[in-house]
Amino acid sequence: MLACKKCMFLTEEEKCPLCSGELSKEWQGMLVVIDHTSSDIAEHMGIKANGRFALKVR
Amino acid sequence: MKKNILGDFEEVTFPHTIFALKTALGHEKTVAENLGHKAKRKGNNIYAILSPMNLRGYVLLEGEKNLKAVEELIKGVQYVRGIVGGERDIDLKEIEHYLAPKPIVADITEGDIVEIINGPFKGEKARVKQIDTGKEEITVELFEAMVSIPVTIKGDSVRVLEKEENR
Ligand SMILES: [Zn+2]
Repeated sequence: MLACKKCMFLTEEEKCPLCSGELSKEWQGMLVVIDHTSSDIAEHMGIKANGRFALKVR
Repeated sequence: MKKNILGDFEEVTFPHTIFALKTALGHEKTVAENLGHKAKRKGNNIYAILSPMNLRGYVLLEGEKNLKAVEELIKGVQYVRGIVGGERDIDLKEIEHYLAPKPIVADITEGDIVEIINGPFKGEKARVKQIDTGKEEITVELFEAMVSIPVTIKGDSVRVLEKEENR
C-alpha cells in the first residue's frame, strides 16, 4: 500500500485517486475515516473524505 | 428511538468521545482496518479509528459514547484485547500530539555533533551544517573524511552526541 505525499490517502493504485498526487511507500501511522462529516479527528487533520490515511508520509 | 414523557418518539443520541483499545503488538493497523470495515458495514456510529505511529499495542476509536456499541463492534475481531478504561472519556486534546507528529529533525540544530547510525556512513561522527525541516534531511560534514564534502542524509539516521548550545 502506498501513501499520497499531498493528501496522505492510502491506496493500492498508481496515482492518488483523491488528488492524483505522487505516492510514496515511506509512510507511518494510520487513520481509518468512516464518517468524515462527524469525525473531529478528520476535521483536525483537514480530511474531507472517508478511507484510509497515513499520519506521516515522506 | 424511545418514547419520551409526552409519548412522542425521539432519537437517543450519545455524546462524542474517543475510546482506547488494547491490541496485540504489531497488529495495530490490521485492527484499525478490520474494525473500520466492520463499523462501516454495521453502522455502529464509529467515525474514525486511529493507529498512531508511536503508540504500540493500542488503537483509538472515535465515535458515539456508547460502550455497548463498541463492545459489540470489537467482539470476535482478531488481535483486539479489549477496551481500556471502560467508560473513561478521552478528549481530542489528549491525543492531538499523535495527529501532528514532531518533525524528525526538530531536536537537531546546526552545529550539533552527531553520530550516523545507518547507511554507508554508519558509525561516522559529523557536524551538522544545514537542516531541511520539510524534507527531514540534514547536511553534515564528516570528521574523518579526507576532504570535507557535505553529505545529505535523513534526519532519523543520526543520533545527537553533543548539542551546539552546550559547547
Ligand atoms: Zn492525494
